[in-house]
Amino acid sequence: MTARNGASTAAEERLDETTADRTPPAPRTGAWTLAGAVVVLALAGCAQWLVRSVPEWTSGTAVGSIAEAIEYPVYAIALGFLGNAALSLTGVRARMTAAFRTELFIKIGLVLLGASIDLGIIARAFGPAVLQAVLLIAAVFAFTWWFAGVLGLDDRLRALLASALSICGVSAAVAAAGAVQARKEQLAYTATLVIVFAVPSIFLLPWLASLMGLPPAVTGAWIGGNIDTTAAVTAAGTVAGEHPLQIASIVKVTQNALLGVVAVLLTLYFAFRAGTAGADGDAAGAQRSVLDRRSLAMLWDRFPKFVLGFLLASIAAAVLHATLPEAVLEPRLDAAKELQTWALTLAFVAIGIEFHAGSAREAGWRPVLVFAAATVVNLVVGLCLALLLFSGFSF
Amino acid sequence: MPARPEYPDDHRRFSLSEDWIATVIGLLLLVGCLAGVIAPELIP
Repeated sequence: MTARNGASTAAEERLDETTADRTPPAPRTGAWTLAGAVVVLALAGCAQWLVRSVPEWTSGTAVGSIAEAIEYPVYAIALGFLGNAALSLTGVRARMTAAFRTELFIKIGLVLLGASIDLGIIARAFGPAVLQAVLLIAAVFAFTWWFAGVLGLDDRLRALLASALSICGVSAAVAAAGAVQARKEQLAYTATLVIVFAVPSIFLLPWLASLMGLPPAVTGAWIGGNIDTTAAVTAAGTVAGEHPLQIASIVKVTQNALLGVVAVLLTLYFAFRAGTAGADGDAAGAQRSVLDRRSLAMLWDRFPKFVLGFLLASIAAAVLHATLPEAVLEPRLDAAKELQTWALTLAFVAIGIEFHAGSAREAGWRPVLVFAAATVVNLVVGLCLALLLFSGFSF
Repeated sequence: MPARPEYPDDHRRFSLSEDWIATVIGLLLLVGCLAGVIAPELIP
């Protein structure tokens, strides 16, 4: 994701760079980046072709109904994994990483998605989304912080894990790493765990929601509140359906927007602790660092700017709905929807290509156990809150 | 005054403004669609 605003691609770039501390860096050139972009585009085109063709090929057969139900994220992620394997085997994947911009694509897709979400839905979902985000972030952060402490993890790693699990995955870990001055390898562990846990959730949560018969809004709120990365939330929402995707994206965007608040609180906590404990022997310096321009600017710095684009898109569509005839507007919104699907397909392909579980093995069992336990807590508390806050929601 | 410690996201290049770039590209594409410049037939 974006750099200071905390997007995962940049964080994963850091992950690559962290790995690069231990292995010789692969040379990256414009030509390799262009080649990577061509690979992503080709795989996305292939996913689009499969989503249209497979139902035709299997029509009338025993698997015809299953093929019709498979949404494009499934093909895109699967092809991304295949591309990942092929590029890794040929040894060129690391040179192309600059082209695998999951978060850039996902944010473009989310801005375009804003045009297809009724402003009224955003307005009605905003209150419950904020309430759910605040309660869920508090509960999951507190549990993760406590449990990681019980297992004796370092405070900085605790902060990274708690932020990643409770807010928005890698982007939150990046923001927290800046706030608490975590070590690079701690960020790498956390980022890897986020991705390892998020990918199965893309398929698991929509399936569980369907199994439990959850209404679309509750499904969306559960997905949006639980899955850590914005890209994976969008993929899972798409698998679950149009209405769950709308609510999931609103809930996730709300959590993203709260990232700055948590980053500021973490900065305050660590600076205060350093000051009172005298860890650095300079309490005044610690207080100055809290009050310096960088810290005060953090709220805006960490605010995900694409949220503004998402809202602007919805407002623009609402204004045009009121001023243009439907016959004129509908084809134009269809075009925006097509581009949104392309942007998200590119992002889902990039998720598969970027997947790299290597440093999770180096993290040891304790962070993995913390992540697994906190994910279960997140699932249960998130489901309760989604049922409580979104059961009566209608589209 | 001691030097500020290195932050993990200090050395971003392109990604520093990626959030804004995504926002601008998304809005430009949307404007193109809503203005009728990008028609559905032009999208594969």
